[in-house]
Amino acid sequence: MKVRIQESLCIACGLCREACPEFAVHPKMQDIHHMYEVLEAECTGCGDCLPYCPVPGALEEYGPNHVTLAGEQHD
Amino acid sequence: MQPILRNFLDKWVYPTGFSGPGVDFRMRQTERCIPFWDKLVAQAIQSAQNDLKSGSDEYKAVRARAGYAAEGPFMSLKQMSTQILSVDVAEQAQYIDLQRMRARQIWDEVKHGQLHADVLLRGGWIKREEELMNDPRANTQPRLSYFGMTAMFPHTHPLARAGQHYYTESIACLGIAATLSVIDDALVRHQMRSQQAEELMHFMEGKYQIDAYALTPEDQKPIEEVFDFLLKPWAPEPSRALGGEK
Repeated sequence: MKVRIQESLCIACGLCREACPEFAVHPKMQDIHHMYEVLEAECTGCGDCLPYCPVPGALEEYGPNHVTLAGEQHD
Repeated sequence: MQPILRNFLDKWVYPTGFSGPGVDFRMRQTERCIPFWDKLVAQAIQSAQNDLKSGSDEYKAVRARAGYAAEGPFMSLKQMSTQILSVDVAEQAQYIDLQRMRARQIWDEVKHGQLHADVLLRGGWIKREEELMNDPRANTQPRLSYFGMTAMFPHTHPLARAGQHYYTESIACLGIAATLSVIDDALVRHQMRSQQAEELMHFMEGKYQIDAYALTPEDQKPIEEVFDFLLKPWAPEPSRALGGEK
């Protein structure tokens, strides 16, 4: 499982960057609006960022075997 | 005059939406600033050229650490909470809009700090931002402003901050423009691109505040005192992040 940011919903608060234990969330390269991006190679899929995101859907899980906050497992 | 400064003056300094004693006062102060701004642009260009000649990427880390140390979240937080207290309660209402503008700037300064850290993270100089907490190069400024300007301005008159914005944020605008005119590098652009727009907004904030609020000799006095301080020969050194020598 990995996490990515839905830019259409993200408010660029940066909380996911603060929460990420791997520093996988970065300010998007050369982006004047201070949006963020999750570097896929650095994301371990721990999901620590998910409970901190204040906008439902702005952080999106993808990939195999991702687990929702409710504990359901998806393939 | 440096073309970058000429362009800045023509685009952002001289065009003014209205006239009045505040605008006239700002134009007089501008004439005092121009020789310093011109010198700073030349210095920033030279510094960028020296960085390119170094043959190493280390200059990016040096600039990023210096930028991390020089950003103003703490100063902005202090100013927002204290500048309004530097005038009597009866006068505070007339300056409340200046305090609101300061609140917006805190967000900018925090984001700028993240960009400096991100250069170091993406460039592989650090693995975690916390490492910067143990690095004096990312937390101190080898300049008088570390104990002078930064320490003093939190308790300044609300209008004095307008003068600080006008002069200091213009240095940021000019330093970034000068650096980007020489260095074409993805990480350096990443560090500076959004800052460029926001430093300009901070400068325009100072410009507007002087134009709109500095209408009487009494209102102009705290602003003029700031220019007297900032325009001393030892004061205008820009951060290494913007092309300064130190």
